[in-house]
Amino acid sequence: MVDWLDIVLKGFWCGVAAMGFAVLFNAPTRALLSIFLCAFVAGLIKFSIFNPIVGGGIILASALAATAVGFASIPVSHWRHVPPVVIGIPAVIPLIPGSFAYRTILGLINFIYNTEVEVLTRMVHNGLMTLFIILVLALGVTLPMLLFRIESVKNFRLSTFFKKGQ
Amino acid sequence: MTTRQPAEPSRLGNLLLQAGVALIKSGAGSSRVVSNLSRFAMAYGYEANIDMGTRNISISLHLENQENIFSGSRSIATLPGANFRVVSAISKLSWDVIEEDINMDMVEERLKKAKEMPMYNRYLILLLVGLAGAAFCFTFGGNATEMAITFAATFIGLYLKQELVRKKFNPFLVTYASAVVAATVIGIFWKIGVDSKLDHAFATCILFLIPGVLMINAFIDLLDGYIINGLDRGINALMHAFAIASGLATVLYIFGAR
Repeated sequence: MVDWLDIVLKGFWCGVAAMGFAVLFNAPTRALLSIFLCAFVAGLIKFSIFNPIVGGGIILASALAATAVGFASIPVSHWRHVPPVVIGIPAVIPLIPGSFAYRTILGLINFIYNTEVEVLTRMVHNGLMTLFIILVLALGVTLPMLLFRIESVKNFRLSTFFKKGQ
Repeated sequence: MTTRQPAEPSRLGNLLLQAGVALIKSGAGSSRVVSNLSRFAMAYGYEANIDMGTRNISISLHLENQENIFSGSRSIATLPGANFRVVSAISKLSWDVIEEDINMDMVEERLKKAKEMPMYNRYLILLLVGLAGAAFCFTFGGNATEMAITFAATFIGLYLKQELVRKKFNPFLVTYASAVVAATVIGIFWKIGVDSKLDHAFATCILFLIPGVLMINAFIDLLDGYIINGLDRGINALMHAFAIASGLATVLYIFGAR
């Protein structure tokens, strides 16, 4: 049985974390609520897919969550009159793999005393996980921009893009 | 687009340089700076050629098929930070210039206002970022005790960071010192025996220092083809990450957590 309450709670705290970073980056007040909501949805997506019953890996879960934020940031930025990165960057920060980064550093220190191969391989594994997750986060946020080749969301609507594409 | 009298080129050029410097300092990606400034220049009938790094910008203006009529450059004393209010305000201004008939005086005034956008109240920032630390702790599987401790550590670490930034210390030293202080707070709680296992708290107390804007902008710049600027931001972010790691490593070494 999937523990939905836990997932919703984690999503909520993702939203809180995103709000903190939005304030730290001095995002306009009018964007704060939408940043919270985007991060909440991102948290729901990440922790639903990452759930052992669903069985998605953490990289896939982070990638899909960040992509969702990237696509959501286009209409939301239009609505709140801010550039999409102002929504997207704070909203994916809660997805940053802090525990992998921490275990990488721990492994690095451990390797000073303990030169077994296993310590090294586990450290490199954790380091690479950190790197790849951050890469998919950045890619996910920018994906809509790359896909639709838009420089600005000001006059952009999904429907017009598909009409133009024919 | 409204047609209007071409503006005085040197005045427009200087405004563009000011806007460019403000955008770069506030953490806008390279293609955003270029598109905003080009839009600005186009509204007044000029074409802008922009060359920029993360600490310098040069702009030259010309009218179609005519020779260069303005060139100027500015260097920026500090590494790029993050201020999304400035980015939003200048982005909006660049659109309003196209859509409405705004004269140079008004542009100058709005640009000045945009650059002096207020920050949030310091204690509100401390409170919300502290909560963000606790939130991280929860999402990584920490319990209520660890969340409370992480809140305290983040609060104290960020307080120190704000003080050091105000005294204009080297940004990487600031990051290192803040990481040391935040992790030390956790270490002290661990030593006095609040909880026997504070792994989650150690891992999340330094997350307020992660250079998120730099990391994502680095990747955006690389994808947009501003390779040098992307590498510049990426290495800047890596140095911050290394400073955080060193700070955490120092404290873990002192407290003997292996």
